[in-house]
Amino acid sequence: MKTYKRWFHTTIFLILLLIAGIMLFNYIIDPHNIFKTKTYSRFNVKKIELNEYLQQARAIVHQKPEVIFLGSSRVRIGLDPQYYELLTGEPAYNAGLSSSTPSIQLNYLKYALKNNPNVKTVVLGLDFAAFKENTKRHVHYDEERLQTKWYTFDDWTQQTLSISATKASLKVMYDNWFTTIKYTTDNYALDGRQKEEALLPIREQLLGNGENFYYVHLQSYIGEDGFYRNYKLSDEQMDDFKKIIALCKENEIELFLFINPAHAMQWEAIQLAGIWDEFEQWKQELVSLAPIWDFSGFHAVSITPPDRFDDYIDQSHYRKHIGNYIFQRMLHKNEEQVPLDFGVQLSEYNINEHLAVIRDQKANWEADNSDIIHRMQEMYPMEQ
Amino acid sequence: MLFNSLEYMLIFLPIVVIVYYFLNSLKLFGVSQIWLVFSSLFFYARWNINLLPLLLFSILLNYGLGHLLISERASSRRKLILVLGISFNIVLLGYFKYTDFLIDTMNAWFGTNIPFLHIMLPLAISFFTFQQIAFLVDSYRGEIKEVSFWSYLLFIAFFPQLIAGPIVHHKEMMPQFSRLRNKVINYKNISLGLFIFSIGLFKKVILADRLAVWATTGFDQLDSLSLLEGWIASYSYTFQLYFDFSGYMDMAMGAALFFNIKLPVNFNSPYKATNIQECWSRWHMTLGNFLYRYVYLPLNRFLSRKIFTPLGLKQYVQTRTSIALLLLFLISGIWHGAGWTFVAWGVMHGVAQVIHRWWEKKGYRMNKVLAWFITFNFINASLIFFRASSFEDVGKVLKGMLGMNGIILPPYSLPLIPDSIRAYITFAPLPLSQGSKAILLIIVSLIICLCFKNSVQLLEKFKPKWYFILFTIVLFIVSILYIKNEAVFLYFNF
Repeated sequence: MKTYKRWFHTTIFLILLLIAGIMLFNYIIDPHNIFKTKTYSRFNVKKIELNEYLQQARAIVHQKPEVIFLGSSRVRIGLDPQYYELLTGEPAYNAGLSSSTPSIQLNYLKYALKNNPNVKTVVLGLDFAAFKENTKRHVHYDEERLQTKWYTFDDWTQQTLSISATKASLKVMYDNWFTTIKYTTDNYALDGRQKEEALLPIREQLLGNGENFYYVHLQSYIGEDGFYRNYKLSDEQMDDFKKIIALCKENEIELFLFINPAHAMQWEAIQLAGIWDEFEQWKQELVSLAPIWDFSGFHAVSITPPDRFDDYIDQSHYRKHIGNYIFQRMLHKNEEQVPLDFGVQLSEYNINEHLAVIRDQKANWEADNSDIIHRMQEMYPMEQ
Repeated sequence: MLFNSLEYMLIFLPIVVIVYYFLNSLKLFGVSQIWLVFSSLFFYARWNINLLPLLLFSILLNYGLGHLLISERASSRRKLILVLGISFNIVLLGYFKYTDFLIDTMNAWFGTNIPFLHIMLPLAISFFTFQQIAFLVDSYRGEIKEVSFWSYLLFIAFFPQLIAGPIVHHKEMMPQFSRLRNKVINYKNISLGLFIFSIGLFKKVILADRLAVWATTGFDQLDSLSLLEGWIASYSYTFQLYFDFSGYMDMAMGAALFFNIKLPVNFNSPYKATNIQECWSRWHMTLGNFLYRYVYLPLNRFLSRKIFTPLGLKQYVQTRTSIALLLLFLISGIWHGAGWTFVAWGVMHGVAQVIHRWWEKKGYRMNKVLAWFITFNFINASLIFFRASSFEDVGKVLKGMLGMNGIILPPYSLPLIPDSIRAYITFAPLPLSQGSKAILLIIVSLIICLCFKNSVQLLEKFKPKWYFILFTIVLFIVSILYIKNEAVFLYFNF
């Protein structure tokens, strides 16, 4: 029995030692930039950032922002917290999350409030696609995570005691030691913004290879199972959007609401999908709840040629300087620099007129750009 | 809670074990038993707390009835109690497991339009129903003299075997719970427990969960399968099922050993079998024993007394046994799942058993390798019915395996194929991705199943030596690193 005792104790001791060792190793390297442990050059400065839903939650706990930007990847890429600070003097954090819906944004806002009851301002960029009924939630979204200021057991173990974390740690060490960028990425700024600088070269390279992302990226909207296919406005999302407004009111938070700008092709896709009426109805419903800035439509900023990345990196993601225009317009600062027809504040009084203007602009754009429309139709045929 | 979750392995199990022995060291044996009961109920409720009342209700009612059977002397009332008890268990299982299946069948046969009830299958119900029926029958037969409430509760709810078996018999469990010697920490047992737990975990996480990818893609996702894909999908599932279920059993056995409880062996290398009867004596053995004792024998007796003897067919023993066997496997099929594909699977096995018995009786012989090959491929073919969610899916996989959707081979295999048959083959990447990895893993699985000792045999070989430390640590650490989304065990559905 004594030898069994020794065997068992040795085995358990070694197992625990190994587990602790692996967890500590991954914690120190922090390959996915979750724990914000100390970084050392040629060791763990460059990271592999993969799970933005976890990362943003941790950043909210860590940074306790007073001004917070919410929205999808459009917000995350396009809105620059530093420029916002330049205009207002207030430090901001960009908590945009790709493919996030109002339900998710509501829960992240609650999470931000839980960690910092002094949130002063919220800037929320809205997407028509995010209000679609029965949209699947992002695989990385975890409601349990937003219940605690600490880590959930799953997050903690996945980030420290998993083969993926361990492999990532080794890759991070490799890239840092050999000063390569074989595995690591530099996609996100400290203020939460996704760096357009990291995306642009890839888009340009792909364009050179004949893959124009203005068209390719439309796949997720009007390709098979795209957002605009079988579109129905979701009551649930609209309710959660109302809750965001109510929550801000309750906490005396200044709330800026705007519809994200995009290239004209993005709006034409709505027309092709046959849901223009739903699009207008969506705007009507939004406006009935709160004043909304509308940056959508066929204005000077949206009708640039879709083979240059001056203003967009694809048909739906606008670049940082366009995001700067949004702030200038909404905050009424340096407005003279903003193209005249970019951004209209909507209310119940001017919405119908505004929608009619966009319809006219659309007709004009369509008349001038039949080649673009033809190519869109060819790539993504809609059954009649 | 899942056996293969870190929450279970790193938190729940250590805490339950440590507190259990701590209470025992204070001689609080009653309290330690209650601790185990509550830990088990917590383990169950962690899935879905709403199911807990059902489990408790079933346990309480069966305990009450069993108690009545043990203490009641008048035989007429005892029979009534038994019939009531068995009916209650079967109705409960039937309601939760078969209502929608019956509705579906009625709608199909009689053109009715009854809406489905979408009843959720309560976890473990198939298993605790069987254990409790056995308990009632044995109480009726006078094989149980007395039973305390807490031991009965523990006998049903003991977390290592609650969810998916083994289907334990009160005779082998109850004495273990009350034996004083088992209350003391026994390092041999917990060493063996850790050892076999690690083997089971490895089988589940590294083998079953990887094979599952190809089985799922082949059975559920692709619309049609080419020759190679059909075989990959079906073999992947055959090995997945074995590693999944036997891995679960190893973990159950290991966890039970931490409490000095020996669970019965449930698997004994079933894929080494050279005939179908042997396969069933090696596969899910506790279910086999239960069905034999509580279904087959009574059924055979019933056929003999009520049908064959009155009709003057007493000498047709072979026919009677064949009918009983067919019915037995039909019931086994239906127990495994509410669907016609499960019925078909049961019938296939019933028929195969009948053929095997006839073959044996005739004294025919077959080359061992050929016998293994036929047996194994029969199991594989029957498991297509077991796995597929509909007969269309069965057809899809079978069509693929028969080459009716053509043959696709990866381009790199071109030089290996003789010129004369290249024309019949499409050389392109397989829609079933990473097919060559799948083939490799299937071959490895086959070697593990055929050429190695199984976990129970390894348990017998276990010695407290350094190489067993190494073996255990490697299996355990590699497995926990690969645990991802806590894939559920297959037998939870049954």
